[in-house]
Amino acid sequence: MEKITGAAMLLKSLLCQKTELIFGYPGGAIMPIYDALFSYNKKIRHILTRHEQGAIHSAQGYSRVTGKTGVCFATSGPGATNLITGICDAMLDSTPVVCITGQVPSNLLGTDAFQEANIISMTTSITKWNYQITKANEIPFVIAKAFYIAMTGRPGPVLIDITKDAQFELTEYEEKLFSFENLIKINNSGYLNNISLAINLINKAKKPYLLVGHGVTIAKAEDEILKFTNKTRIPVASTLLGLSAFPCNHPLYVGMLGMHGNYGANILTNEADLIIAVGMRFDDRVTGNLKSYAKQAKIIHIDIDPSEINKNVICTVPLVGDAKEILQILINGVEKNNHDNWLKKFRECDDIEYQEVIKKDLEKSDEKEIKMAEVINLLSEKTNGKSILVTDVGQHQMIAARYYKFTNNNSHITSGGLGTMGFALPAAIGAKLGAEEREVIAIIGDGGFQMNIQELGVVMQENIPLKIIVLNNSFLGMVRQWQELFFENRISSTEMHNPNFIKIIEGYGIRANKAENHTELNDYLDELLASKESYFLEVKVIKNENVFPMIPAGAGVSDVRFS
Amino acid sequence: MNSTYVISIIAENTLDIFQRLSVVFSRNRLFINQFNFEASKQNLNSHFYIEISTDEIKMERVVKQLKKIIELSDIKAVHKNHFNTNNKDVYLCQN
Ligand SMILES: Cc1ncc(C[n+]2csc(CCOP(=O)(O)OP(=O)(O)O)c2C)c(N)n1
Repeated sequence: MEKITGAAMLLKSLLCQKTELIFGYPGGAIMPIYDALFSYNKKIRHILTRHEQGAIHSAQGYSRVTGKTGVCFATSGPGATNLITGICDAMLDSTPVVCITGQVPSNLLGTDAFQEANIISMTTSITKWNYQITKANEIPFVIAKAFYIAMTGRPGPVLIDITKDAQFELTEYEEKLFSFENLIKINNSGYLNNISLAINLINKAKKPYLLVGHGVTIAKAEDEILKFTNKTRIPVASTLLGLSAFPCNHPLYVGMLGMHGNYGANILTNEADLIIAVGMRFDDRVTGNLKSYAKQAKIIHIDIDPSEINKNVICTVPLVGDAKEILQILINGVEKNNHDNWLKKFRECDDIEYQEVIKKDLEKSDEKEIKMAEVINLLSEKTNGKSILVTDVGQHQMIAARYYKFTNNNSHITSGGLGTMGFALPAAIGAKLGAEEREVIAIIGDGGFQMNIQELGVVMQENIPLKIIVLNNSFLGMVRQWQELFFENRISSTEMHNPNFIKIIEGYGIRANKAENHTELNDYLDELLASKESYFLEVKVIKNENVFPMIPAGAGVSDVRFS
Repeated sequence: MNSTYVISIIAENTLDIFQRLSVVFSRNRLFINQFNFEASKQNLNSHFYIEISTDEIKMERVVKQLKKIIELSDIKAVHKNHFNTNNKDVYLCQN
């Protein structure tokens, strides 16, 4: 049998997993792999990012739109440590990625060799699994196992660290299929005992309320959610990461949950008699103070991860398993119903929210000054809510989540659990490469944009027709808002003196414009959407706008502030 | 209310298994009262007895988080009063 290097074996193993795209950045300890990649460049496309953080976020964006496992490469030491934020982000947002890092030769491990970092230790608590390979013959099995673990059950990141000698080592290679049944125990029938209990509760409930989380998108259970609600006529709300799993224009949709969620969606949690939570984990940003969260309600919790059950909120009926399968069974079991009076309550709250917040957010108070909500609202109208929005972290993220009316599934990508500034630009690059036929628009604040601005180099080099909108308020807006509301307006180190973004973007050969009034905004948005190439739009927005409604940290879901 | 529990774990005896277990305890801010470890004859499996004091809710959470460790094949948690040291061998693997 022919002998090949460990590095070539890695690429063959990646091909076995149907890997087509890798985001990465080379360096000494991963050079044999990059050398092998040279021979595989017809089968695997490698995107040279400008920072390893860019590589992992791009892999995440790619994974989130395609549902496939994202792959990224980095060298040892600083290359590997630069991946850490993205790995943690992928862990919290259940994104399957396989990170391959180079490592110093095995005889140097433990000696503080040049660019040696114990990346296995560092990533143990933020990966589903990690493993260090020191022998080439381990590669096929370990890579197959890595992909299996990343994808199976609740998805997440896996890191495989390969020493340089293992990459060089010549070994016999034979393509094999590996089976990992039972490696991750999913109790597929565990929920069956509880199904009739759940159906009973749903049929009897007077004020049932369905909460849709990211798990619905991951399980591709959007159709089932629609069928279930069309039959039961139960009002539906979404978490931040659940956005776009249910069409925002559906008559049963009542809005987003959480700190900056919709008024009715939040306060009526405390009136519902039954909460059906699907693929969501009762995150503290959603529940607020647990002591005053939905105490009156019975709770059905559908989740594939048993460790989420009773973690934050004690549920009445746990249904552990795949959301799609469970919903299919529920659809058959539940009775046709309607909850018009209950739904009316949400609509009354909508009226209050409109008067208190939305009207003000959308009205053009001034000839020139642009509000963030105006931008997103206009974008939503012009695209009919059909684009993929990739947002960064901060006020613009919340405004985008509130005002973009998603009508297509799997169209909202943001860093929810970790709240990683700098996520959007690289994630949008990955998303666009994964969904070339769709319009992908990154919405970023001026702060977050400068955290991974270097990834514009990828847009340029790879000619990626990505649309980028920076909402520039010259502040770290969300932090400034907290300083104003909760720290006596002591504006400490949040004002930003920004560079001339247009000049920078033009340096990358990307078409760029800056909107400073309503007409320019309208015209440039049209240009951006019509463009077949990448397009950058900076919008100068009001400096000290605040995002409302808001449930202050630590308060209950009923303690909504409008100002 | 805090009680003392004994957690018995069987896992693959990999290089990182100690760390994988310990991060779960440290992130939940749980001190370990007692820790026993035995490797099976051919070093393939490891058996841990870990004694902690905590409340039932945290205990349940920690056990669920430990169950996510890929190398872990069995876990049992019992109230210390119900832990019978004679049972120890029941869990030990014979390879
Ligand atoms: C990496 C990272 N550092 C710090 C923060 C804390 N943080 C959250 S929002 C925010 C401000 C974001 O400012 P900008 O990107 O300009 O967006 P805006 O809020 O103004 O829309 C900061 C600093 C974070 N989420 N991520």
